[in-house]
Amino acid sequence: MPPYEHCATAIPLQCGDVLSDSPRRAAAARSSLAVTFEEVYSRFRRPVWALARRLTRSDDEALDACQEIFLRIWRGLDGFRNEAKLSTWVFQIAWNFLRSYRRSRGRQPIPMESLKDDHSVMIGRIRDRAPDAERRVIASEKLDRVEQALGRLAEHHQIVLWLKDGEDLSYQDIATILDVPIGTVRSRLARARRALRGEVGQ
Amino acid sequence: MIDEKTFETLSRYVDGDLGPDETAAFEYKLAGDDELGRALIDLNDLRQSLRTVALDDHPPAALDHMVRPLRRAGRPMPQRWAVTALVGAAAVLVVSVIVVEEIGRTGWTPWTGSSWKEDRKIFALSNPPSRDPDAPLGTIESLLAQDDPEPDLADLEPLEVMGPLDRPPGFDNSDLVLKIGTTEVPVSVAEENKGLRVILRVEGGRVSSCSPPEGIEPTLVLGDVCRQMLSVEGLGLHDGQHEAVVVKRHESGAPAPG
Repeated sequence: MPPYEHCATAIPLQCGDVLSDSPRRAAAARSSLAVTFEEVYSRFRRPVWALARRLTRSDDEALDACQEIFLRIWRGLDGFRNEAKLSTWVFQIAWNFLRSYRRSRGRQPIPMESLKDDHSVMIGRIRDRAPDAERRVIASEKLDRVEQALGRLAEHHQIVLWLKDGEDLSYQDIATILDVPIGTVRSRLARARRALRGEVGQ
Repeated sequence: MIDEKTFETLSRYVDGDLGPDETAAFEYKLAGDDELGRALIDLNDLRQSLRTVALDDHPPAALDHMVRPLRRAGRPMPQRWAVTALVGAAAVLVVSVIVVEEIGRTGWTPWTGSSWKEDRKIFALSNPPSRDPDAPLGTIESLLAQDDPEPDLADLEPLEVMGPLDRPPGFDNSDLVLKIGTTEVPVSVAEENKGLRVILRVEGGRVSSCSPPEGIEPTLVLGDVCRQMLSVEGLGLHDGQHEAVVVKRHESGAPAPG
């Protein structure tokens, strides 16, 4: 077998390094072979989109934000060495971009109607799935109310709620993404849930 | 009114973040507190609602379209390459891969000795001469379709790539191979000769034939550093998954350089 036959075609340069007998390079090459952009995109297109949509409150802006986020992921993928969890790494990039994006917009008040049309689409999907008409309407209205309430919370409450309850990440992962101690995640999440409960109840 | 501390415990409880003792104590408290019980139901309800909203929020097809060039481009060039490369792109549907070497150069002026010149994009590789005997000798990393993410079959666009080839002391004629994808082509080296040319026919991303069949000859290497100029035309290189790289190969029985 030719000496490089075992190498995937994706990264021949690193494969060359493997043959160099350098343990450091070999390890780097092995880890960099672990994930491709296509895999990352397939796995995270929905979560990144959903997060961008929550924080931009606009489909057009969410699209632009997602494009920039995935460009950053693409650029950074070569340096990703599996030292962090992939999900943590991706959400970190997304959150850092979206946070600065929101700041660059000067914290303008965002019209709550901006997602109205898409709520209708979502509600339509729910209606299609629910077992009977009355429950379908109730379910859709409730989801609508919860999402509207989420949009009224402070940014740091929205993000922690979304990462935990929307994306089901662990406290530790959220702490890493937001770069805060895990105790802060616990207390912030509790306050966010309390605030959301209050908003939904109003 | 539930105090903040108790609510945080409730929040951790619904996430399963409490230890066994804490859980038992909280459940005892929960059993005797209707308000806390209602809060538990509400929290579980809200979590479920948020999860449903998240899972139902699929991106539009427009996002796939916007990200498509990245998906087709494969892996990015490392930053150091991206910064120093003159152009990072091109790739295209063509019928063959042609490699030409012109030796004895010391500068970086684009090669002009080919009849294909007018149709080419020219790329300068920034791979610096390396003294690491284990380092790859030269690489082509510009075979990405960034300029033309959706090449047309009729849009034939030869690509020319230039790059330095470091020749460490002690290597002989059998030390080098040109590797494109998984295909290796021996690179012969003969001093005081000039010119290297190989034509590779690529089908479906694989090199199906090589001309001359016995490898490349003759090739000139002068000095410690050979500045190698490579011209590549290729079919199947547009997917970003095939890169050419010149590597050392240790022949059986031959001592490894360095």
